[in-house]
Amino acid sequence: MELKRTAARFAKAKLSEDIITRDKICEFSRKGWLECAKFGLQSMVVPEEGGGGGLGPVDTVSVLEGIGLGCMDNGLLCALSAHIWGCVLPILRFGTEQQKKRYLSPLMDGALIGANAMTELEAGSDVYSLKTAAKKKKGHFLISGRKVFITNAPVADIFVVYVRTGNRKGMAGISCFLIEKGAKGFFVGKNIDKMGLRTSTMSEIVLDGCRVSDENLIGRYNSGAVVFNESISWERMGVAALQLGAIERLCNICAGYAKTREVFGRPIAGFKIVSDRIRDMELCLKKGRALVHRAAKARQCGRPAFIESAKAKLYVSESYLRCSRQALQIHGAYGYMTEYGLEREMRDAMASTIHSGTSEVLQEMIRKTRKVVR
Amino acid sequence: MKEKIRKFIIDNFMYGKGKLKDDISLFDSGIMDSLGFIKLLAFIEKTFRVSIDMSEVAIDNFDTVDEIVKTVSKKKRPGK
Ligand SMILES: Cc1cc2nc3c(=O)[nH]c(=O)nc-3n(C[C@H](O)[C@H](O)[C@H](O)COP(=O)(O)OP(=O)(O)OC[C@H]3O[C@@H](n4cnc5c(N)ncnc54)[C@H](O)[C@@H]3O)c2cc1C
Repeated sequence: MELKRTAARFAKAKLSEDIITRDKICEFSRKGWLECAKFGLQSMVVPEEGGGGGLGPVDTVSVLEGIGLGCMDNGLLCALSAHIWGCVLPILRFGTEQQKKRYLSPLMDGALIGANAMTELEAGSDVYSLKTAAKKKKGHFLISGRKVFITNAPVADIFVVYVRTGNRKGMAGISCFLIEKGAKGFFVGKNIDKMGLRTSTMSEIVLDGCRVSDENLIGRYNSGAVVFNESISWERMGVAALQLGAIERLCNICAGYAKTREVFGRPIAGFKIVSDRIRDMELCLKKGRALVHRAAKARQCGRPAFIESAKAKLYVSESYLRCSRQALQIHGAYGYMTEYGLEREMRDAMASTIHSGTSEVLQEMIRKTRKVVR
Repeated sequence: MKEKIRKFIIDNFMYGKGKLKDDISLFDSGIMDSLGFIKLLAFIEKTFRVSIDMSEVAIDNFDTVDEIVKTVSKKKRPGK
């Protein structure tokens, strides 16, 4: 509880500056990024002996819940998620000693920004149909292909990129590489304008015979899918924890507003439909919290928590969208106005049902696990 | 061990039907997808009481029934 409170206090004080203006002009907050690094967010999952915070999964989700509660800059949190789960974690869990030594410290202290590139034009939900390919040469690889919707790409320094190595189809023939911005044959596109999370940046990347040393391989050759599974599973849990905080923030805002906004001579909290909406939001929060903490506890016990994380992410992201709509409705026309921040919240929430596995894909995955495992 | 693994794969990923040769590639044949792979690792850990560190996993070591048996046997006899 203390961790969550401290994180919420920090986030409220430092991370929401000028959010309405920055959302309008799609501005990523480098200042907020550095504040997060000072607070220890980028390093929290790295063990203490490696210079990090050494938090376990249960404490990590508590911190993230607090950050989501205090921070209104959801774009910044999206950027942080891509950095921590898509870049820091793969290096930490699968990287060589040399890679850890070279990259972890600047990724933790805010000097470098990380991104991860999996999605392609024709490989979104069906990620393992990706076509970006690496040709093996002596001591290096030549990688060609195109990745789309890459969070942080316009501002990132280090990219974790998944490519096909060899002729096998599906998940068996994929490897994971670290590529630095500025590598020969590596191009980053322009920032893409999008509906929500506008304070995070996104673009495509193009690899045109990009030369990458053997030393940049993360994890085993042809086993990049293992890296991706681990990374996405943590990401789902982390993203859900942040959104729990956002739901709690919406609950608080709505409960306060409903008590003070008077219509027909009484506070709107007195209308059953309004109070039902708020109760519904609180229920989402309670159920979502149970799911996120179940996933975190499973991880803490050393299990990959793949399905638990998928369940948490599915429920919380859908609830976040639902609650942001309820919050807007409770505020009437004021909610519809940019100044109140609720229309932005709803736009941001929409994205969460698409990235890190769409709701449909997660539903399908969960349905499949209901089959008997003997 | 081999029969337990084979039965698990047939029951879970082949609708309980058909035969599974020891050397057929589970990934190339489409029998195993990413979720199936995670289920398989969980099954192996539970059934054979071994612990699998994800950072050491090489997909090729789980590609056929023969490879899986070899990998699990090695895990059960550390140092060999
Ligand atoms: C804000 C944001 C940030 C992102 N950041 C990154 C990033 O940093 N790196 C990266 O690599 N990618 C990133 N992505 C891409 C994201 O991972 C993909 O958008 C996502 O995987 C879905 O792929 P797609 O958009 O191609 O949709 P498609 O796969 O084309 O899906 C289209 C529709 O079909 C549905 N569908 C697909 N398969 C099934 C099924 N089996 N059953 C039922 N319905 C199905 C989907 O749910 C969806 O509604 C980001 C996306 C967003 C929105």
